[in-house]
Amino acid sequence: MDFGLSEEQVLLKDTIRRYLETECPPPRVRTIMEAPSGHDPELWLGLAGLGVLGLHVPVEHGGSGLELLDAALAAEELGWACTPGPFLACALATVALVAAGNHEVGTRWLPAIAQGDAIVTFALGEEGDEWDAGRLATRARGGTLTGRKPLVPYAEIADAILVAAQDDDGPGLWLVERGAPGLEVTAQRTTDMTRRVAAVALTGAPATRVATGRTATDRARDAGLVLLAADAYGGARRCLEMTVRYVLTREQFGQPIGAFQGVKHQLADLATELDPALSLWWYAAHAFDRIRDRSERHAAIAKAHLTDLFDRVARVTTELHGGIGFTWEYDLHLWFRRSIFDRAFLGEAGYHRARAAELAGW
Amino acid sequence: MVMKLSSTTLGYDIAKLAMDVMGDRALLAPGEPSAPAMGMFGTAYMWSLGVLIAGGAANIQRNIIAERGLGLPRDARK
Repeated sequence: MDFGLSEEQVLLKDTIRRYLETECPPPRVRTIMEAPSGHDPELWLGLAGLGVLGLHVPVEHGGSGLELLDAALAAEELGWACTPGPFLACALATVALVAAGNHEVGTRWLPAIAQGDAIVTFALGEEGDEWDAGRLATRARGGTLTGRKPLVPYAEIADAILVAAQDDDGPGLWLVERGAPGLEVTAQRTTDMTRRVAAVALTGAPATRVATGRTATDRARDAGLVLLAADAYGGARRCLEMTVRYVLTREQFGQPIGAFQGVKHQLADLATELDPALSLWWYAAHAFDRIRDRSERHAAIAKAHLTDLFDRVARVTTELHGGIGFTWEYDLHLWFRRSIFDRAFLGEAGYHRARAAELAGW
Repeated sequence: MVMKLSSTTLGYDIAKLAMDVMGDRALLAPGEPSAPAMGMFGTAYMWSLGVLIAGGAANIQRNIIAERGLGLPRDARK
């Protein structure tokens, strides 16, 4: 049995890598992240042109009809390049819309997402670290929504927001369009400036029902966990690579600092931790696509482990750089900041470890 | 030197624990009104890494502790 990537998947990764190396090197990352929206429409249309935004959009809605694993490979590359923008927001919305199976709403929004013409985001988490579809306080009543969502990715520029909420029958999924009365979006500053969030307040905002039940929401959350794990892996790889290059050139006592055993061992330890972590998120993506009953737990494990690891890699590699690693001019802190978002968004590592234990019946 | 290494490492660990306790809102920038304690812990987290490096990163401290404190031979130098 072959656990490797297909030729097409390797080609996909290479294509995105080359595109981002040219179109989104660190100076461009900084320009975009310092802009008010944290989003660059030109880069976004470029990604759409490569098919990145429609990878897991069904073919009948103008996408490639691929799986989460393919989207996660793209996420790894975006993490590698520290690419700013609403990729995660749109990917969550895509999974939710596909899982909802609402033809009318899917037809309206999925082709636009795939083509880069619309930004659609997903509002799940609530006050008190609440990411469970069954415990949400946001209420749907008579075609309107009322509630608060403090951390919604790129809600400020979103054309539509998918909102996980509850009505008298339990959880469901609704859609609110930009400019709806009773919709208030307040930008929040984030430590990772390459991924923006906003607080969304809904006060009787008109909403369209997209799905009944919690499946679409749970699927979107699990996909998000895998995509964050993949982003963390790509980011951690980049930190390691930058640092290896640095310790080969920076000299102390007449030799590159990479010649010192203390430095070598720290880098070797990180490489040793990263290698097996790759198969962890690959498997979580595969389980999401093909082994439904293992999907939820493996998404939780991958998110917890990979985002923890990214945090550790970012810290150790910053330390190995010494003072320069901590300056604004040097690029490494972009990934250090990115690791903070990956760890916190959709719930931190400890929360998902507890979930994984519960799902295993422990 | 032992104090510098142990206290800065402890400082980092405390700030990291605070980030974990903040959960999802740890992603908000220091000073953001909706961050717990006005983002004080986010600031502490970023600073703790800076302090760990300032005045000689951990590896420099380890060398000094091993060589001056424990009397081990110095690294080979060219």
